Amino acid sequence: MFSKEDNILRLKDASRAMEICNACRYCETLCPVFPQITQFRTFDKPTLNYLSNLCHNCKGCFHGCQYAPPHEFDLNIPKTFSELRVDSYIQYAFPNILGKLFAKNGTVVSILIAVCIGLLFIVGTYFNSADSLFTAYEGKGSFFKVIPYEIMTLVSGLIFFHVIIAFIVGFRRFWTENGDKMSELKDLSLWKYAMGAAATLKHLDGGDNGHGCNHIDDRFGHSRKWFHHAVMYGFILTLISTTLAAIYHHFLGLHAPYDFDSLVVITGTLGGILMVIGCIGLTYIKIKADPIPISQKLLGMDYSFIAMLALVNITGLLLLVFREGAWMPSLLCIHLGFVLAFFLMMPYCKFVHLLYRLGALLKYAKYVRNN
Amino acid sequence: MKKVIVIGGGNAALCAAITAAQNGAKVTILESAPKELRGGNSQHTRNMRTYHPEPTKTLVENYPFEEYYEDLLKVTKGETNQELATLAIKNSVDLYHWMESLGINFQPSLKGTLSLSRTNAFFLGGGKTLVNREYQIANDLGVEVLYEHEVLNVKLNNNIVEYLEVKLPNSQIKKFKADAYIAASGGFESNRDWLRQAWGEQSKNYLIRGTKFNQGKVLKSLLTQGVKKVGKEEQGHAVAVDGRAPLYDGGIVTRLDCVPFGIVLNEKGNRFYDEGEDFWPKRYAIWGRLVASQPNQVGHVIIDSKSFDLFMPSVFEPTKADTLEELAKKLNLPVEQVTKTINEFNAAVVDGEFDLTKLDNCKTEGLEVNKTHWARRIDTPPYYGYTLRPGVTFTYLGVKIDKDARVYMEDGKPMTNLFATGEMVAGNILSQGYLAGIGMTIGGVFGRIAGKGAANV
Repeated sequence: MFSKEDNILRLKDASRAMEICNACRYCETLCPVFPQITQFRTFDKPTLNYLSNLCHNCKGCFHGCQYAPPHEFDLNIPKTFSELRVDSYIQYAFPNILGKLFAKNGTVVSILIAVCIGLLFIVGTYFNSADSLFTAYEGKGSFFKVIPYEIMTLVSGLIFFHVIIAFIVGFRRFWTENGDKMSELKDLSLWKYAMGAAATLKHLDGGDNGHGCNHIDDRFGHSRKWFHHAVMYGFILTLISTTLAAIYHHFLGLHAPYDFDSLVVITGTLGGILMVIGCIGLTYIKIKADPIPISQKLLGMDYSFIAMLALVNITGLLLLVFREGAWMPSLLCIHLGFVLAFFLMMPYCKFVHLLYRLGALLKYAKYVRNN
Repeated sequence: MKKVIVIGGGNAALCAAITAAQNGAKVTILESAPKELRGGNSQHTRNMRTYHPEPTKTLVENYPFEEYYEDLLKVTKGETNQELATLAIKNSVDLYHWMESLGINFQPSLKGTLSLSRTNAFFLGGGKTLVNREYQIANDLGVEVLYEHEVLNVKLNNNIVEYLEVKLPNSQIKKFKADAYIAASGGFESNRDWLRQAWGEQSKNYLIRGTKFNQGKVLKSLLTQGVKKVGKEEQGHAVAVDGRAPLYDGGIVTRLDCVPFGIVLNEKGNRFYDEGEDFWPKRYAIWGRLVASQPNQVGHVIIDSKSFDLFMPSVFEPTKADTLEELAKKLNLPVEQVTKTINEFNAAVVDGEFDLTKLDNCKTEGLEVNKTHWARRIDTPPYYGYTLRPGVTFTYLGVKIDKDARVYMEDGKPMTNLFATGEMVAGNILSQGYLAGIGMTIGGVFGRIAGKGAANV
């Protein structure tokens, strides 16, 4: 499914598709992919990797395509590109061997979650400072009475370090593959364009008219963009919450759990709720969507990622509600199990689309700057 | 509430159906294609020629009525129906704004089509996106769309349509009745038997650029029952396309823009026309006919590596070789004659300043068929070859209508309940030649008129 041979066939098919698009160009203002391809006459692997990551999977080019199946040209750019993107994730993964995890992502994620939750329960059972895991704890520092502070910090610190390294190496591999230099990233105008486009998801607007993308069928709309915004900004809010908590803990000497009116809890709760709403919305769209421009091979990866995000947040919100009761230790183990699995998988699941799509937008910013 | 049936599923049919529904009719569309292939030739279009006195969101400057009309007279050599042509052109700007109001999106002209940025409104994403949006609007207005419903016969009683005979998806034949009917089911260019009858045996070598569903059955049914025809059966519009294009639905990508950069040989290895006569957009239409008049309706463009990057990429890879002999062999051309023709051509080239942006002074002298511009020696390997075939865009034969889009009988009587639009009526305005994007204008303008008329019969 994601072997080297499959990748070669896919590259060949994508290259054929791009040559047809390049001779047609009806989609020129739909999204950045189509103006960008006019700069090429042939399409090698680095170029196709770049283009597939530049594609936002809005499907406007599929529903508007006079060569879509059942036409014998059988053009299905969203599907071809979504599979090629995963090939590129595998290729850029660090360490390389773990790239294989992308191929069976759904299964890997499920198993990992189960293992992580199990581990947390074992740790909790052995190290908790009460008689059992089913005891109510009160007051500051109660979470650390279930899972000791040292273990929590050490594990999260190591994983954080690993994620950062994997991201830097992966990004570097992507960025330099077609000959671009890392030093070019010093140009802040590129970042301005790319961050702006990412923050607004401008390329899900379907062009300058802003009518939106084809998330379900050939109708245009903005729901996918808004649900994605909910997930993305929800995620940023939870990151802010976590960072604040670390500052409170290390610099202010204030220990979790934090009060309901503290900034940590407010940003975390808001972020969590947004992400849950976003995940439900994106799942709904995926279920309702026309299946033809979607790769069935990737549904496991997509759904497991959305489910993981949703469950991290749902368990987090439950923990917030029941943190004073006897269910707290169990809920904490479950929640931290999901969090652990999520961070372990971060460089080897759908999460990396953020990294390479941002990279692709930076590359596209170069094209915009030079034209 | 009037019941209206629209025959056909392209832009003209949809403009008619939407307008009829907006005017209070209960509308049914009978589209012979399945849903995935709906939209007739509209799905391959990209723009609509639009008169506009001032700039719009995507159209630059202005395109005055008089200029549009002059452009039309130029291509038709003065033969047009002045009343209908004026009506189509005058209403084109209104059509554009109406489409905008329906949520149809336009885009600035595409790269390489700057010559059209003033005159033609480009559909964002192309004709299929346009048609998709029109089907959505029709759907929202309660229009019933029946796919794979092929109208075989329009039963007339003098100047009244009594009913339609329709082939259903299960191949059964069913009668459909309505208060008014709008025929918008295109020409007959995809009907190979009819083409052979009208154009001769050579038509078997023609490719059809558009839908395979334009079988002309409604057209034939009407014309055999005394409806007045316009246009000539033997006339069709063809351009030179890539010889490896699919038999149907090749659309825009099969065009080849390389002719002015090289030479074109027929099957015998001889040149037959001035490849550098004028800019390609102005000449590509005549090359359809030129190639059609060659043995086996085929031509071969030969260029060398100097020119390879100068034109829009082709959809199929060219035949490539390091020597002219090898190229001729690969193209199945007589090697000796090809070499002789190219050597003679090379010897006749007069050096000049090669300039793509104007009719330059690179030409040949002393040949039977000279190349008058952009002539450069073919001497730098690798060499490339592209095969040309005639690609039929549409046929001109249609039914006579008046300014109300009402169909006329041969005896001069108007039909009481039959209207027509689209390619079926284009022949009223276009007797010959073609003006890029005017087909969509004619279909849209008369579609709206027909829809209104049918809702109020």
